[in-house]
Amino acid sequence: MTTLTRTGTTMPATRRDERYAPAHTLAPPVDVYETDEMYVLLADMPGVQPDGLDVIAERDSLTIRGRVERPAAEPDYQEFELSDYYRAFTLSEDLESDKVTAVLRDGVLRVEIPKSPRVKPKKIAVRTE
Amino acid sequence: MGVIDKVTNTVTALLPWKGEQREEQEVPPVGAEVLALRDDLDRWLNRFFEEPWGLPASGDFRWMPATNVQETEKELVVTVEVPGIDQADIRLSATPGQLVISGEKKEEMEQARRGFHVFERRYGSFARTIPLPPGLDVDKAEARARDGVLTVRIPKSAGQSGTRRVPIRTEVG
Repeated sequence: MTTLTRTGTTMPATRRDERYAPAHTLAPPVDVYETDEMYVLLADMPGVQPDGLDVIAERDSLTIRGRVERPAAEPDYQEFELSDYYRAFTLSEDLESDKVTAVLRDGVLRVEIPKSPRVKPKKIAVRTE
Repeated sequence: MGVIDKVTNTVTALLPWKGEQREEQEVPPVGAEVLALRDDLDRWLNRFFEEPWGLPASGDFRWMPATNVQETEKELVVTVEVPGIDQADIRLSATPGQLVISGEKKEEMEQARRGFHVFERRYGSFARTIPLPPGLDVDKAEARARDGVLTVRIPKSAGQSGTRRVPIRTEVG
């Protein structure tokens, strides 16, 4: 059975990740949920346009990069920064990374990662004797 | 297994002497959660002490979208992060004293959902009240939402911008 183990901590949306990400990027907040058929990943990436987005699925990893056009002037009052986004995930072997699909709408990226047929739940017919 | 966050789920982040050596050794060997907590605290403190506009949450709402305010020569520009919020679910009202932005971020309906593995995004009703300086023409305010960013532009009143010149009459006596 596919279970997601996630031993790390939740990363706030605006924390810069200097260790792995390129300079000046934000880790977007994500939701990941599971259905019988797939994993669905939702990422809030306000300011990213479709041509500024890269979703790269390799055999065992999923990488999200988003480029943002920064405003010319610094705001007088600021709570958020339009900045490039970066986040990477490890995919387990029971996911079909070559069949990943991605849609961007209103600043939200939705990635669907189908499960391999062998781990999908099967209904077992019960015979009556 | 499944989908695992590469950034946070690393042995080296917590145990720097273990695992492969990484090039970025100047980063102090502090756990990601400690750094994240510190950043959270910094943000909170900044909001308490360095809030020149004093943007409060209004009413009983579950969250506040992040807001920036920029004043230019001609207008006041308010930008709000609204990813995933339908334009129909955003309400805007501008009066001479304040701009109120409210709405709801709806969770997507997925009948076959078996459970969440990561839950970081925020949902539900939100509201923000932004106090406005005098001299704005709120009737001419314009708003548009694009790529999850709402931009509200409120032009400055033509008659009140800058210093008003006082005419001086010359009396011939």
